[in-house]
Amino acid sequence: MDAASEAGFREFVESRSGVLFRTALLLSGGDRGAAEDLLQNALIKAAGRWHRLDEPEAYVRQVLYRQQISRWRLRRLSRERVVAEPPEPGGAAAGGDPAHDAELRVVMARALRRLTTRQRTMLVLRYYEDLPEAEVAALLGCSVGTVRSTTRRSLDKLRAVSPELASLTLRPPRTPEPVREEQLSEVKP
Amino acid sequence: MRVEELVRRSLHHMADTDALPEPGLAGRVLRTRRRRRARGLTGAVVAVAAAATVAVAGPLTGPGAGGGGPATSPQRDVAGRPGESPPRQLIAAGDVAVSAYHTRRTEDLPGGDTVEIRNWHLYDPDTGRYEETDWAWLDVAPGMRTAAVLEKDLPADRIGLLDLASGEVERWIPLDRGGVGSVEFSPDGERLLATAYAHNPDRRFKDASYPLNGDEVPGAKPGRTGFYVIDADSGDASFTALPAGAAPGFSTDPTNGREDLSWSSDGELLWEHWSYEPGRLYYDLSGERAGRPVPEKHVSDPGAGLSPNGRLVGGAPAGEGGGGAAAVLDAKTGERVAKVPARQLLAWADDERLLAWGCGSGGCRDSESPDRLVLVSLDGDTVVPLSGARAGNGGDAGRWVPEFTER
Repeated sequence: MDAASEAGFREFVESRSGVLFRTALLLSGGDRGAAEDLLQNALIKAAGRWHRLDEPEAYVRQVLYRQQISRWRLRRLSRERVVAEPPEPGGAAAGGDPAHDAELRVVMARALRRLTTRQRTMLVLRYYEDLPEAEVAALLGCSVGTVRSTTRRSLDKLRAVSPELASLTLRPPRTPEPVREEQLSEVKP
Repeated sequence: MRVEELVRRSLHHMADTDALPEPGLAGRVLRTRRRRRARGLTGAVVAVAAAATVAVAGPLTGPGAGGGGPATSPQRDVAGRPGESPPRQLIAAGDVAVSAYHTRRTEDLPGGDTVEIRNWHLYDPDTGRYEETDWAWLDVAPGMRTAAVLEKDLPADRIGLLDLASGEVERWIPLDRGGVGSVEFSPDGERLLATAYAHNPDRRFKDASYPLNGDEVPGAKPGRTGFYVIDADSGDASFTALPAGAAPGFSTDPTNGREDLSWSSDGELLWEHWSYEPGRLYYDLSGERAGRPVPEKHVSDPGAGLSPNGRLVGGAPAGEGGGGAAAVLDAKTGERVAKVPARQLLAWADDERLLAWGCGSGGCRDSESPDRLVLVSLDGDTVVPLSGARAGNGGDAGRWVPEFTER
Protein backbone atom coordinates (compact mmCIF):
# COMPACT_ATOMS: atom_id res chain seq x y z
CA MET A 1 0.00 0.00 0.00
CA ASP A 2 1.56 3.32 -1.04
CA ALA A 3 1.37 6.52 0.97
CA ALA A 4 -1.66 7.85 -0.91
CA SER A 5 -3.59 4.62 -0.50
CA GLU A 6 -2.68 4.48 3.15
CA ALA A 7 -3.93 8.02 3.65
CA GLY A 8 -7.17 7.10 1.90
CA PHE A 9 -7.55 4.01 4.01
CA ARG A 10 -6.97 5.95 7.22
CA GLU A 11 -9.54 8.52 6.18
CA PHE A 12 -12.06 5.78 5.44
CA VAL A 13 -11.50 4.13 8.82
CA GLU A 14 -11.73 7.48 10.55
CA SER A 15 -15.04 8.35 8.94
CA ARG A 16 -16.76 4.96 8.78
CA SER A 17 -15.40 2.94 11.67
CA GLY A 18 -18.18 4.12 13.99
CA VAL A 19 -21.03 2.79 11.93
CA LEU A 20 -19.12 -0.37 11.01
CA PHE A 21 -18.26 -0.93 14.64
CA ARG A 22 -21.90 -0.75 15.60
CA THR A 23 -22.71 -3.44 13.04
CA ALA A 24 -19.89 -5.53 14.46
CA LEU A 25 -21.36 -4.99 17.93
CA LEU A 26 -24.70 -6.35 16.77
CA LEU A 27 -23.03 -9.37 15.24
CA SER A 28 -21.07 -9.95 18.41
CA GLY A 29 -24.09 -9.73 20.67
CA GLY A 30 -22.79 -6.56 22.32
CA ASP A 31 -19.32 -7.91 23.15
CA ARG A 32 -16.97 -4.96 22.56
CA GLY A 33 -13.81 -7.02 22.47
CA ALA A 34 -15.23 -9.44 19.94
CA ALA A 35 -16.60 -6.55 17.87
CA GLU A 36 -13.19 -4.82 17.79
CA ASP A 37 -11.61 -8.08 16.78
CA LEU A 38 -14.17 -8.70 14.07
CA LEU A 39 -13.92 -5.21 12.61
CA GLN A 40 -10.15 -5.13 12.75
CA ASN A 41 -9.88 -8.37 10.81
CA ALA A 42 -12.37 -7.18 8.20
CA LEU A 43 -10.42 -3.94 7.77
CA ILE A 44 -7.17 -5.88 7.39
CA LYS A 45 -8.73 -7.74 4.48
CA ALA A 46 -9.96 -4.47 3.01
CA ALA A 47 -6.51 -2.91 3.34
CA GLY A 48 -5.09 -5.82 1.37
CA ARG A 49 -7.16 -4.97 -1.69
CA TRP A 50 -7.71 -1.31 -1.07
CA HIS A 51 -6.78 -0.10 -4.53
CA ARG A 52 -9.26 -2.52 -6.13
CA LEU A 53 -12.26 -1.63 -3.99
CA ASP A 54 -14.92 0.55 -5.55
CA GLU A 55 -17.17 0.42 -2.50
CA PRO A 56 -15.01 -0.25 0.52
CA GLU A 57 -17.82 -0.01 3.05
CA ALA A 58 -19.91 -2.59 1.23
CA TYR A 59 -16.88 -4.83 1.04
CA VAL A 60 -16.11 -4.49 4.75
CA ARG A 61 -19.71 -5.28 5.61
CA GLN A 62 -19.60 -8.37 3.46
CA VAL A 63 -16.39 -9.51 5.12
CA LEU A 64 -17.87 -8.83 8.54
CA TYR A 65 -20.79 -11.11 7.85
CA ARG A 66 -18.88 -13.85 6.12
CA GLN A 67 -16.14 -13.77 8.70
CA GLN A 68 -18.64 -14.03 11.48
CA ILE A 69 -20.32 -17.06 9.93
CA SER A 70 -16.96 -18.66 9.27
CA ARG A 71 -15.52 -17.90 12.68
CA TRP A 72 -18.58 -19.32 14.33
CA ARG A 73 -17.38 -22.81 13.58
CA LEU A 74 -14.01 -22.27 15.17
CA ARG A 75 -14.80 -20.06 18.09
CA ARG A 76 -18.44 -20.65 18.70
CA LEU A 77 -18.42 -20.98 22.45
CA SER A 78 -16.17 -18.06 23.15
CA ARG A 79 -18.36 -15.84 21.04
CA GLU A 80 -21.48 -17.08 22.74
CA ARG A 81 -20.10 -17.06 26.24
CA VAL A 82 -18.48 -13.66 26.35
CA VAL A 83 -21.32 -11.57 27.59
CA ALA A 84 -21.26 -7.84 27.77
CA GLU A 85 -23.93 -5.35 28.55
CA PRO A 86 -25.89 -4.34 25.49
CA PRO A 87 -24.96 -1.02 23.96
CA GLU A 88 -26.64 1.90 25.55
CA PRO A 89 -29.57 3.06 23.49
CA GLY A 90 -29.33 6.40 21.79
CA GLY A 91 -32.95 7.25 22.41
CA ALA A 92 -36.41 5.88 22.77
CA ALA A 93 -38.39 4.42 19.93
CA ALA A 94 -40.25 6.96 17.97
CA GLY A 95 -43.74 7.18 19.19
CA GLY A 96 -43.28 4.52 21.88
CA ASP A 97 -43.13 4.49 25.64
CA PRO A 98 -39.45 5.01 26.51
CA ALA A 99 -39.50 2.76 29.58
CA HIS A 100 -41.29 0.05 27.72
CA ASP A 101 -38.93 0.30 24.77
CA ALA A 102 -35.91 0.20 27.02
CA GLU A 103 -37.17 -2.93 28.72
CA LEU A 104 -37.91 -4.52 25.37
CA ARG A 105 -34.47 -3.68 24.14
CA VAL A 106 -32.75 -5.18 27.16
CA VAL A 107 -34.76 -8.37 26.93
CA MET A 108 -34.18 -8.62 23.21
CA ALA A 109 -30.47 -7.95 23.51
CA ARG A 110 -30.18 -10.69 26.08
CA ALA A 111 -32.18 -13.04 23.90
CA LEU A 112 -30.06 -12.25 20.85
CA ARG A 113 -26.91 -13.10 22.74
CA ARG A 114 -28.30 -16.53 23.43
CA LEU A 115 -28.59 -17.30 19.74
CA THR A 116 -25.71 -18.87 17.89
CA THR A 117 -23.58 -16.45 15.96
CA ARG A 118 -24.95 -17.85 12.74
CA GLN A 119 -28.53 -17.30 13.85
CA ARG A 120 -27.77 -13.79 15.08
CA THR A 121 -25.98 -12.92 11.86
CA MET A 122 -28.93 -14.10 9.85
CA LEU A 123 -31.31 -11.91 11.85
CA VAL A 124 -29.03 -8.89 11.50
CA LEU A 125 -28.92 -9.34 7.75
CA ARG A 126 -32.66 -9.87 7.40
CA TYR A 127 -33.98 -7.33 9.89
CA TYR A 128 -31.22 -4.77 10.41
CA GLU A 129 -29.81 -4.60 6.90
CA ASP A 130 -33.26 -5.47 5.53
CA LEU A 131 -31.79 -7.69 2.84
CA PRO A 132 -34.11 -10.03 0.93
CA GLU A 133 -33.54 -13.76 1.42
CA ALA A 134 -31.88 -14.15 -1.97
CA GLU A 135 -29.31 -11.48 -1.22
CA VAL A 136 -28.55 -12.96 2.18
CA ALA A 137 -28.05 -16.34 0.51
CA ALA A 138 -25.70 -14.85 -2.06
CA LEU A 139 -23.78 -12.97 0.59
CA LEU A 140 -23.26 -15.97 2.84
CA GLY A 141 -22.87 -18.51 0.06
CA CYS A 142 -25.81 -20.68 1.07
CA SER A 143 -29.22 -21.49 -0.36
CA VAL A 144 -32.36 -19.41 0.02
CA GLY A 145 -33.87 -22.41 1.79
CA THR A 146 -31.08 -22.30 4.37
CA VAL A 147 -31.64 -18.60 4.94
CA ARG A 148 -35.35 -19.21 5.38
CA SER A 149 -34.99 -22.15 7.73
CA THR A 150 -32.23 -20.52 9.80
CA THR A 151 -34.25 -17.34 10.15
CA ARG A 152 -37.30 -19.30 11.21
CA ARG A 153 -35.33 -21.31 13.75
CA SER A 154 -33.72 -18.14 15.04
CA LEU A 155 -37.08 -16.51 15.65
CA ASP A 156 -38.37 -19.70 17.27
CA LYS A 157 -35.38 -19.74 19.56
CA LEU A 158 -35.87 -16.10 20.47
CA ARG A 159 -39.38 -16.93 21.61
CA ALA A 160 -38.18 -19.99 23.45
CA VAL A 161 -35.31 -18.36 25.32
CA SER A 162 -37.24 -15.25 26.21
CA PRO A 163 -40.86 -16.08 26.90
CA GLU A 164 -41.14 -12.68 28.55
CA LEU A 165 -41.06 -11.18 25.07
CA ALA A 166 -44.65 -12.30 24.77
CA SER A 167 -45.86 -10.06 27.56
CA LEU A 168 -43.60 -7.20 26.50
CA THR A 169 -44.70 -7.26 22.91
CA LEU A 170 -48.29 -7.48 23.90
CA ARG A 171 -48.03 -4.48 26.17
CA PRO A 172 -49.22 -1.42 24.31
CA PRO A 173 -46.58 1.29 23.87
CA ARG A 174 -48.92 4.17 24.62
CA THR A 175 -52.25 3.70 22.99
CA PRO A 176 -53.86 0.37 23.76
CA GLU A 177 -54.45 -1.68 20.65
CA PRO A 178 -56.63 -4.72 20.32
CA VAL A 179 -54.64 -7.94 20.48
CA ARG A 180 -55.19 -10.17 17.54
CA GLU A 181 -55.05 -13.92 17.78
CA GLU A 182 -52.15 -14.26 15.33
CA GLN A 183 -50.06 -11.97 17.49
CA LEU A 184 -50.56 -14.30 20.42
CA SER A 185 -49.45 -17.28 18.41
CA GLU A 186 -46.44 -15.33 17.13
CA VAL A 187 -44.95 -14.80 20.49
CA LYS A 188 -45.87 -17.97 22.29
CA PRO A 189 -42.83 -19.88 23.48
CA MET B 1 -46.32 -6.46 17.17
CA ARG B 2 -44.96 -9.41 15.21
CA VAL B 3 -41.73 -10.84 16.46
CA GLU B 4 -40.01 -9.98 13.18
CA GLU B 5 -40.89 -6.34 13.67
CA LEU B 6 -39.76 -6.51 17.26
CA VAL B 7 -36.40 -7.88 16.17
CA ARG B 8 -36.06 -5.20 13.52
CA ARG B 9 -36.84 -2.44 15.97
CA SER B 10 -34.59 -3.86 18.65
CA LEU B 11 -31.62 -4.22 16.32
CA HIS B 12 -31.94 -0.66 15.13
CA HIS B 13 -32.17 0.57 18.70
CA MET B 14 -29.16 -1.46 19.71
CA ALA B 15 -27.20 0.03 16.83
CA ASP B 16 -28.31 3.51 17.74
CA THR B 17 -25.44 4.12 20.11
CA ASP B 18 -22.39 6.30 20.38
CA ALA B 19 -20.11 3.30 20.78
CA LEU B 20 -16.84 3.67 18.91
CA PRO B 21 -13.85 1.39 18.49
CA GLU B 22 -10.72 2.13 20.48
CA PRO B 23 -8.79 5.10 19.02
CA GLY B 24 -6.04 4.33 16.54
CA LEU B 25 -7.90 1.56 14.72
CA ALA B 26 -6.42 2.35 11.29
CA GLY B 27 -2.90 2.24 12.67
CA ARG B 28 -3.53 -1.07 14.38
CA VAL B 29 -5.01 -2.51 11.21
CA LEU B 30 -2.09 -1.44 9.06
CA ARG B 31 0.47 -2.61 11.57
CA THR B 32 -1.20 -5.99 12.05
CA ARG B 33 -1.50 -6.43 8.31
CA ARG B 34 2.19 -5.72 7.82
CA ARG B 35 3.02 -8.15 10.55
CA ARG B 36 0.89 -10.92 9.09
CA ARG B 37 2.30 -10.38 5.65
CA ALA B 38 5.85 -10.26 6.85
CA ARG B 39 5.95 -13.13 9.25
CA GLY B 40 4.18 -15.34 11.77
CA LEU B 41 4.64 -15.10 15.47
CA THR B 42 2.59 -18.07 16.59
CA GLY B 43 4.49 -21.11 17.51
CA ALA B 44 7.54 -19.08 18.22
CA VAL B 45 8.58 -21.44 20.94
CA VAL B 46 12.10 -20.47 21.73
CA ALA B 47 14.68 -22.47 23.59
CA VAL B 48 17.60 -20.40 24.75
CA ALA B 49 20.57 -20.02 27.03
CA ALA B 50 21.84 -17.72 29.78
CA ALA B 51 21.97 -14.02 30.85
CA ALA B 52 20.48 -10.97 32.64
CA THR B 53 19.91 -9.79 36.15
CA VAL B 54 17.89 -6.66 36.72
CA ALA B 55 16.69 -6.23 40.25
CA VAL B 56 13.13 -4.99 40.03
CA ALA B 57 10.19 -6.22 42.04
CA GLY B 58 6.44 -6.03 41.63
CA PRO B 59 4.29 -5.81 38.52
CA LEU B 60 5.20 -3.39 35.79
CA THR B 61 2.22 -2.44 33.77
CA GLY B 62 2.11 0.28 31.19
CA PRO B 63 -0.86 2.59 30.92
CA GLY B 64 -3.88 0.76 29.59
CA ALA B 65 -2.07 -2.53 29.35
CA GLY B 66 -4.76 -4.31 31.22
CA GLY B 67 -2.22 -6.13 33.39
CA GLY B 68 -3.86 -9.42 34.19
CA GLY B 69 -6.94 -8.80 32.08
CA PRO B 70 -7.95 -10.75 29.03
CA ALA B 71 -5.91 -10.23 25.91
CA THR B 72 -8.91 -10.37 23.67
CA SER B 73 -9.20 -6.72 22.83
CA PRO B 74 -6.49 -4.62 21.25
CA GLN B 75 -3.82 -3.62 23.73
CA ARG B 76 -0.70 -1.76 22.86
CA ASP B 77 1.26 -1.28 26.01
CA VAL B 78 3.58 -3.15 28.28
CA ALA B 79 2.61 -5.66 30.95
CA GLY B 80 5.73 -6.82 32.76
CA ARG B 81 6.16 -9.05 35.80
CA PRO B 82 9.75 -8.41 36.80
CA GLY B 83 9.26 -10.23 40.11
CA GLU B 84 7.89 -13.43 38.57
CA SER B 85 9.81 -16.34 37.08
CA PRO B 86 8.08 -18.27 35.70
CA PRO B 87 5.39 -15.62 35.31
CA ARG B 88 2.05 -16.00 37.04
CA GLN B 89 0.26 -13.15 35.27
CA LEU B 90 0.21 -11.98 31.68
CA ILE B 91 3.40 -10.70 30.12
CA ALA B 92 2.87 -8.62 27.01
CA ALA B 93 4.48 -5.83 25.03
CA GLY B 94 3.33 -4.09 21.91
CA ASP B 95 1.62 -6.51 19.58
CA VAL B 96 2.63 -9.73 21.30
CA ALA B 97 2.09 -11.53 24.55
CA VAL B 98 3.50 -14.58 26.22
CA SER B 99 0.48 -16.78 25.59
CA ALA B 100 1.94 -19.88 27.23
CA TYR B 101 5.15 -21.35 28.50
CA HIS B 102 6.43 -24.81 29.20
CA THR B 103 8.98 -26.54 31.33
CA ARG B 104 10.48 -29.97 30.66
CA ARG B 105 11.30 -33.01 32.68
CA THR B 106 12.45 -36.53 31.85
CA GLU B 107 10.58 -39.61 33.03
CA ASP B 108 11.81 -43.18 33.09
CA LEU B 109 9.77 -45.77 31.25
CA PRO B 110 9.70 -49.52 31.89
CA GLY B 111 12.43 -51.33 29.97
CA GLY B 112 15.01 -48.57 30.18
CA ASP B 113 13.53 -46.05 27.76
CA THR B 114 12.89 -42.47 28.85
CA VAL B 115 10.58 -39.72 27.65
CA GLU B 116 10.85 -35.97 27.84
CA ILE B 117 7.60 -34.40 29.06
CA ARG B 118 6.57 -30.81 28.48
CA ASN B 119 4.54 -29.24 31.23
CA TRP B 120 2.47 -26.46 29.67
CA HIS B 121 1.03 -23.39 31.35
CA LEU B 122 -1.52 -21.52 29.27
CA TYR B 123 -2.83 -17.99 29.76
CA ASP B 124 -6.40 -18.04 31.04
CA PRO B 125 -8.23 -14.79 30.29
CA ASP B 126 -10.74 -15.50 33.05
CA THR B 127 -8.20 -15.64 35.85
CA GLY B 128 -5.61 -13.42 34.20
CA ARG B 129 -2.98 -16.01 35.05
CA TYR B 130 -1.03 -18.78 33.44
CA GLU B 131 -2.71 -22.02 34.46
CA GLU B 132 -1.15 -25.46 34.38
CA THR B 133 -2.58 -27.80 31.77
CA ASP B 134 -2.39 -31.51 30.94
CA TRP B 135 -1.79 -31.01 27.24
CA ALA B 136 1.23 -32.63 25.66
CA TRP B 137 1.58 -29.78 23.15
CA LEU B 138 -0.21 -26.57 22.38
CA ASP B 139 -0.06 -23.58 20.10
CA VAL B 140 -2.12 -20.41 20.51
CA ALA B 141 -3.73 -18.77 17.48
CA PRO B 142 -3.21 -15.08 16.71
CA GLY B 143 -5.68 -13.10 18.79
CA MET B 144 -5.28 -15.45 21.77
CA ARG B 145 -8.77 -16.84 21.68
CA THR B 146 -8.11 -20.36 20.49
CA ALA B 147 -5.34 -22.88 21.04
CA ALA B 148 -4.62 -26.08 19.16
CA VAL B 149 -3.88 -28.82 21.67
CA LEU B 150 -2.56 -32.38 21.63
CA GLU B 151 -3.37 -34.94 24.27
CA LYS B 152 -0.91 -37.13 26.04
CA ASP B 153 0.58 -39.44 24.93
CA LEU B 154 2.25 -38.40 21.73
CA PRO B 155 1.84 -38.97 18.88
CA ALA B 156 -1.76 -37.77 19.22
CA ASP B 157 -4.39 -39.03 16.81
CA ARG B 158 -6.56 -35.92 17.03
CA ILE B 159 -6.14 -32.17 17.45
CA GLY B 160 -8.33 -30.20 19.80
CA LEU B 161 -9.35 -26.59 19.25
CA LEU B 162 -9.49 -25.15 22.73
CA ASP B 163 -11.48 -22.04 23.52
CA LEU B 164 -9.33 -20.05 25.93
CA ALA B 165 -12.32 -18.24 27.44
CA SER B 166 -14.20 -21.38 28.44
CA GLY B 167 -11.27 -23.76 28.76
CA GLU B 168 -13.29 -26.26 26.72
CA VAL B 169 -12.29 -28.04 23.54
CA GLU B 170 -14.67 -26.77 20.90
CA ARG B 171 -14.02 -29.52 18.46
CA TRP B 172 -11.75 -32.42 17.77
CA ILE B 173 -10.13 -32.89 14.40
CA PRO B 174 -9.42 -36.58 13.80
CA LEU B 175 -6.26 -37.58 11.96
CA ASP B 176 -6.55 -40.73 9.88
CA ARG B 177 -2.97 -41.07 8.62
CA GLY B 178 -1.14 -41.44 11.90
CA GLY B 179 -0.60 -39.36 15.02
CA VAL B 180 1.20 -36.03 15.35
CA GLY B 181 3.81 -34.66 17.72
CA SER B 182 3.43 -30.94 17.10
CA VAL B 183 0.89 -28.51 15.74
CA GLU B 184 1.20 -24.87 14.73
CA PHE B 185 -1.27 -22.24 13.54
CA SER B 186 -0.52 -20.51 10.26
CA PRO B 187 0.35 -16.80 10.55
CA ASP B 188 -3.21 -15.86 9.64
CA GLY B 189 -4.66 -18.40 12.08
CA GLU B 190 -6.73 -20.09 9.40
CA ARG B 191 -4.75 -23.31 8.94
CA LEU B 192 -2.88 -25.77 11.08
CA LEU B 193 0.36 -27.54 10.34
CA ALA B 194 0.86 -30.78 12.26
CA THR B 195 3.96 -32.96 12.00
CA ALA B 196 3.25 -36.70 12.04
CA TYR B 197 5.48 -39.26 13.72
CA ALA B 198 5.56 -43.05 13.90
CA HIS B 199 6.46 -42.82 17.58
CA ASN B 200 6.72 -40.21 20.30
CA PRO B 201 9.46 -37.84 19.09
CA ASP B 202 10.36 -37.09 22.70
CA ARG B 203 10.98 -40.73 23.58
CA ARG B 204 14.54 -41.90 24.09
CA PHE B 205 15.24 -45.55 23.35
CA LYS B 206 17.55 -47.82 25.26
CA ASP B 207 18.50 -49.63 22.06
CA ALA B 208 19.67 -46.30 20.61
CA SER B 209 21.85 -45.43 23.60
CA TYR B 210 24.85 -43.17 23.20
CA PRO B 211 27.72 -42.30 25.54
CA LEU B 212 27.33 -39.16 27.65
CA ASN B 213 29.79 -38.20 30.38
CA GLY B 214 30.92 -41.79 30.69
CA ASP B 215 27.41 -43.25 30.83
CA GLU B 216 25.24 -44.87 28.20
CA VAL B 217 22.00 -42.92 27.98
CA PRO B 218 18.91 -43.69 25.88
CA GLY B 219 18.89 -41.92 22.53
CA ALA B 220 16.35 -40.61 20.03
CA LYS B 221 15.28 -42.37 16.84
CA PRO B 222 14.01 -40.51 13.79
CA GLY B 223 10.31 -41.14 13.34
CA ARG B 224 8.73 -38.41 11.20
CA THR B 225 6.29 -39.74 8.62
CA GLY B 226 4.92 -36.54 7.11
CA PHE B 227 2.63 -33.63 7.85
CA TYR B 228 -0.98 -32.56 7.81
CA VAL B 229 -2.24 -29.20 6.61
CA ILE B 230 -5.64 -28.60 8.15
CA ASP B 231 -8.28 -25.98 7.49
CA ALA B 232 -9.04 -24.81 11.04
CA ASP B 233 -12.52 -23.77 10.06
CA SER B 234 -13.78 -26.91 8.36
CA GLY B 235 -11.37 -29.40 9.94
CA ASP B 236 -10.46 -30.74 6.48
CA ALA B 237 -7.03 -32.34 6.78
CA SER B 238 -4.69 -33.38 4.00
CA PHE B 239 -1.69 -35.57 4.71
CA THR B 240 1.63 -35.44 2.83
CA ALA B 241 4.39 -37.98 3.37
CA LEU B 242 7.74 -36.41 4.28
CA PRO B 243 9.63 -39.07 6.17
CA ALA B 244 12.49 -38.63 8.58
CA GLY B 245 15.83 -37.83 7.04
CA ALA B 246 14.41 -36.00 4.02
CA ALA B 247 17.03 -33.30 4.50
CA PRO B 248 20.31 -33.72 2.60
CA GLY B 249 23.16 -34.72 4.89
CA PHE B 250 20.68 -35.82 7.52
CA SER B 251 22.15 -37.70 10.44
CA THR B 252 20.39 -38.93 13.51
CA ASP B 253 20.78 -36.65 16.51
CA PRO B 254 20.61 -38.89 19.57
CA THR B 255 19.58 -35.94 21.73
CA ASN B 256 16.63 -34.87 19.59
CA GLY B 257 14.00 -36.95 17.82
CA ARG B 258 12.01 -33.95 16.60
CA GLU B 259 11.88 -32.90 12.98
CA ASP B 260 8.94 -30.54 13.39
CA LEU B 261 7.85 -28.45 10.44
CA SER B 262 6.97 -24.76 10.72
CA TRP B 263 5.22 -22.18 8.55
CA SER B 264 7.18 -19.64 6.59
CA SER B 265 6.44 -16.03 7.53
CA ASP B 266 3.87 -15.62 4.75
CA GLY B 267 2.21 -19.00 5.34
CA GLU B 268 3.02 -20.14 1.80
CA LEU B 269 5.82 -22.62 2.56
CA LEU B 270 7.01 -24.95 5.30
CA TRP B 271 10.47 -25.30 6.71
CA GLU B 272 12.44 -27.58 8.96
CA HIS B 273 15.60 -26.97 10.89
CA TRP B 274 18.73 -27.94 9.00
CA SER B 275 22.12 -28.48 10.55
CA TYR B 276 23.89 -26.70 7.71
CA GLU B 277 23.86 -23.11 6.52
CA PRO B 278 21.51 -21.36 6.10
CA GLY B 279 19.85 -23.39 8.84
CA ARG B 280 16.47 -23.99 7.21
CA LEU B 281 15.13 -26.27 4.49
CA TYR B 282 11.95 -25.17 2.78
CA TYR B 283 9.13 -27.24 1.26
CA ASP B 284 5.94 -26.35 -0.51
CA LEU B 285 2.63 -27.66 0.78
CA SER B 286 2.93 -30.74 -1.42
CA GLY B 287 6.18 -31.68 0.32
CA GLU B 288 8.47 -30.71 -2.58
CA ARG B 289 11.68 -28.84 -1.82
CA ALA B 290 11.36 -25.11 -2.34
CA GLY B 291 13.74 -22.20 -2.42
CA ARG B 292 14.29 -19.86 0.48
CA PRO B 293 11.76 -17.01 0.29
CA VAL B 294 13.45 -13.69 -0.43
CA PRO B 295 12.07 -11.90 2.66
CA GLU B 296 13.57 -14.65 4.85
CA LYS B 297 16.96 -14.59 3.20
CA HIS B 298 18.72 -13.27 6.28
CA VAL B 299 16.51 -14.82 8.95
CA SER B 300 18.45 -16.99 11.36
CA ASP B 301 17.51 -19.43 14.07
CA PRO B 302 17.14 -18.75 16.84
CA GLY B 303 16.14 -15.14 16.41
CA ALA B 304 13.17 -12.81 16.32
CA GLY B 305 12.67 -13.12 12.56
CA LEU B 306 11.26 -10.32 10.43
CA SER B 307 10.02 -7.09 11.95
CA PRO B 308 6.31 -6.32 11.47
CA ASN B 309 7.08 -4.05 8.52
CA GLY B 310 9.36 -6.71 7.04
CA ARG B 311 12.35 -4.37 6.82
CA LEU B 312 14.51 -5.72 9.63
CA VAL B 313 15.62 -9.08 10.96
CA GLY B 314 16.14 -9.77 14.64
CA GLY B 315 19.20 -11.89 14.25
CA ALA B 316 21.82 -13.87 16.05
CA PRO B 317 24.43 -12.68 18.57
CA ALA B 318 26.49 -9.86 17.10
CA GLY B 319 29.59 -12.05 17.05
CA GLU B 320 33.23 -11.00 17.17
CA GLY B 321 33.52 -7.61 18.78
CA GLY B 322 29.81 -7.53 19.40
CA GLY B 323 30.25 -7.59 23.14
CA GLY B 324 27.70 -10.35 23.44
CA ALA B 325 24.94 -8.13 22.09
CA ALA B 326 22.48 -9.23 19.41
CA ALA B 327 22.43 -7.92 15.87
CA VAL B 328 19.53 -6.42 13.96
CA LEU B 329 19.97 -6.74 10.20
CA ASP B 330 18.58 -5.06 7.12
CA ALA B 331 16.21 -7.70 5.71
CA LYS B 332 17.22 -6.94 2.12
CA THR B 333 20.97 -6.58 2.38
CA GLY B 334 21.76 -8.52 5.53
CA GLU B 335 23.86 -5.62 6.81
CA ARG B 336 23.88 -4.98 10.51
CA VAL B 337 21.89 -1.83 11.25
CA ALA B 338 21.73 -2.05 15.05
CA LYS B 339 23.25 -3.84 17.97
CA VAL B 340 21.08 -4.27 21.02
CA PRO B 341 22.11 -5.29 24.52
CA ALA B 342 20.44 -8.68 24.68
CA ARG B 343 21.57 -12.25 24.98
CA GLN B 344 19.06 -13.42 22.43
CA LEU B 345 16.30 -11.75 20.44
CA LEU B 346 12.99 -13.59 20.63
CA ALA B 347 10.13 -11.62 19.05
CA TRP B 348 9.25 -8.17 17.74
CA ALA B 349 6.90 -6.14 19.94
CA ASP B 350 6.56 -3.64 17.08
CA ASP B 351 8.87 -2.12 14.47
CA GLU B 352 11.06 -0.45 17.09
CA ARG B 353 11.10 -2.84 20.04
CA LEU B 354 12.01 -6.46 20.63
CA LEU B 355 11.40 -9.02 23.31
CA ALA B 356 14.62 -10.70 24.26
CA TRP B 357 16.52 -12.60 26.89
CA GLY B 358 18.35 -9.72 28.46
CA CYS B 359 21.92 -9.50 29.62
CA GLY B 360 22.75 -9.72 33.30
CA SER B 361 24.29 -7.07 35.52
CA GLY B 362 27.69 -8.34 34.46
CA GLY B 363 26.95 -7.43 30.84
CA CYS B 364 26.16 -9.62 27.89
CA ARG B 365 29.49 -11.40 28.11
CA ASP B 366 28.60 -12.76 31.55
CA SER B 367 27.01 -16.04 30.56
CA GLU B 368 26.83 -17.19 34.16
CA SER B 369 24.20 -14.69 35.20
CA PRO B 370 20.59 -15.84 34.89
CA ASP B 371 18.57 -14.39 32.07
CA ARG B 372 15.36 -12.43 32.22
CA LEU B 373 12.76 -11.54 29.64
CA VAL B 374 13.14 -7.88 28.62
CA LEU B 375 11.71 -5.39 26.18
CA VAL B 376 14.54 -3.61 24.40
CA SER B 377 14.44 -0.68 21.99
CA LEU B 378 16.33 -0.80 18.70
CA ASP B 379 18.67 1.95 19.81
CA GLY B 380 19.39 -0.08 22.93
CA ASP B 381 18.70 2.90 25.18
CA THR B 382 15.64 1.41 26.82
CA VAL B 383 15.59 -2.00 28.47
CA VAL B 384 12.42 -2.85 30.38
CA PRO B 385 12.40 -6.04 32.47
CA LEU B 386 9.35 -8.20 31.76
CA SER B 387 9.99 -11.23 33.93
CA GLY B 388 12.05 -12.31 36.90
CA ALA B 389 15.42 -13.94 36.46
CA ARG B 390 15.28 -17.41 34.98
CA ALA B 391 17.38 -19.94 36.80
CA GLY B 392 19.05 -23.01 35.38
CA ASN B 393 20.67 -23.95 32.13
CA GLY B 394 19.51 -25.40 28.81
CA GLY B 395 17.30 -28.36 29.59
CA ASP B 396 17.10 -27.97 33.37
CA ALA B 397 13.81 -28.95 34.91
CA GLY B 398 11.82 -25.87 35.81
CA ARG B 399 13.49 -23.66 33.22
CA TRP B 400 10.55 -22.06 31.47
CA VAL B 401 10.34 -21.48 27.74
CA PRO B 402 7.87 -18.83 26.53
CA GLU B 403 5.61 -18.96 23.52
CA PHE B 404 4.86 -15.61 21.89
CA THR B 405 1.57 -14.92 20.17
CA GLU B 406 0.12 -11.93 18.41
CA ARG B 407 -2.54 -10.57 20.72
